[in-house]
Amino acid sequence: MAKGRFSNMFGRLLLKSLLPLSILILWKLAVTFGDIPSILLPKLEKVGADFVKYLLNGELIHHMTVSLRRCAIGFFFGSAAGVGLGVLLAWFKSLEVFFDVTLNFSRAIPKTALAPLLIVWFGFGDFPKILLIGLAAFFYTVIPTLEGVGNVDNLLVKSARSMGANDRQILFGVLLPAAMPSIYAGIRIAATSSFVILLFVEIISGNSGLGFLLEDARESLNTSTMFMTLIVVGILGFTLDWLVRYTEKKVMPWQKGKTISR
Amino acid sequence: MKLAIRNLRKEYNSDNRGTFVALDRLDLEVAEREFVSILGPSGCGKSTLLEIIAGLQEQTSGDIITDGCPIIKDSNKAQNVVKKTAIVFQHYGLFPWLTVQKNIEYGLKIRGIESKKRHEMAMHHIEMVNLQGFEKFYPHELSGGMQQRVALARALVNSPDLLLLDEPFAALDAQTREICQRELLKLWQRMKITIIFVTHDVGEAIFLSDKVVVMSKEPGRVREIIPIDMPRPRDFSVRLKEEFRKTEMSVRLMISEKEVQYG
Repeated sequence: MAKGRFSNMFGRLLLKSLLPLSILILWKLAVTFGDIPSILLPKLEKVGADFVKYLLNGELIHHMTVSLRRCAIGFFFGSAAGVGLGVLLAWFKSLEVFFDVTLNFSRAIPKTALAPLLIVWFGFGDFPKILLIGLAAFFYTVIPTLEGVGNVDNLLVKSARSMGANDRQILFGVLLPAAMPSIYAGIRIAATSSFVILLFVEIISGNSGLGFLLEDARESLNTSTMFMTLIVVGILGFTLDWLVRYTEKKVMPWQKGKTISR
Repeated sequence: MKLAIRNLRKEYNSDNRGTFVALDRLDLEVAEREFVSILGPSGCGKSTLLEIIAGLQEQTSGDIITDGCPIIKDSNKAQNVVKKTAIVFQHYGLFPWLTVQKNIEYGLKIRGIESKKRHEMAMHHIEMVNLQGFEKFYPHELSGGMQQRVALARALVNSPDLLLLDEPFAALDAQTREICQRELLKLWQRMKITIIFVTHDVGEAIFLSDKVVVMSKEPGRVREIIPIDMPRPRDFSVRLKEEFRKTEMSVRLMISEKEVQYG
């Protein structure tokens, strides 16, 4: 039994690594035997060497920190504002009506389309980048929050009221936790799109950050650096996704196993 | 808790459908520690009545007098009345993000009772509804019958004088329902509280109650009050008695007659 399971696990691991390994081998073979200019596909070793170089001279860490900082600040303030306003709109119906047109119109504009304007207004520094990420995070969270809080089962509210809960206790003790799955769905999208927008805005207007590193590598036709950065970006994206899933389980332990059955 | 309902009227106004009268000229007396069931066709305002008594809705006119004092819809004073009244719904209304224990503690927590005392009281009530070992479970991990017991414990832990039950067992299978009925009777006898029990099930109403109130619809009002004099404690054998079956038949006729009349 134990042995069978081990070989099964081993088999799974083998199966999982088969494709990435094949891609690497194919890459290696193509570069060695094919007549591919290194501008299109650099040597694997060169990508590795670039990684070591950028790691040792501190540039990689620098650009990574700059990027992550922008992403984190934008995401944090944007989604905090989104959740906050969403709750307010759900609580005060007239406020929802007041914001309805504005919110739905500005939501329909893809946030990346605002980048040129923000650059004109605020230049090439950190602020317009963080603002753009924040705007995206805001719009991705405000609607799910509004809908989540607005659609809480009235039975839960009645139950709490019947036990004497006041408005504040209803809001924080019932509406918010009950709307949590919906709010978190928004936060999840906000987190992933923050990263996407970060790279986009750094590519078009960067002087630092991972997006800038990519664009800079393009300008100097340094494809190996570009591949190196892409791999780092991939790892970061992967980590971000894992982090979001992990916190979801921590924030909503009662949802465990529920999503699978539904 | 003693309860008197005088000339109660509840209407709903909507712009496109005009005025709908849910309850009209409704009078009802409930004695201290009495078990009263309310029967009636769907839409006769049974649930509305319970929610008005629980303070969840406001009547259009009329009075609800508990222990001689009218319920005042004053945000400060209402709290006192509400605290003495607890309500349990058909679909439990448990908070899915709280464990069994935390669900039961909810009412105590919002009243600011300290955590050690809360824990103690919750454990006591978990035992009372036979859910030992399930303290840390989330509602969705429990069966319907168990969830309804949690809801019952969550209501009882606030030591109400009046317990309102809105078709609490309607969503349960027949066997679980019978077990829950028996347990409810035991709890009622032990806790010495007044119960108003809304149901569709004629047999259930007669089995449980001291008096069965039959309501008519459009507008909802009391049509008949049938005292049930069978001795207590009752077990399921009373359902086989001639007296039980006669009462059941006459109540059934009363309800179906009304439904036919209104089509």
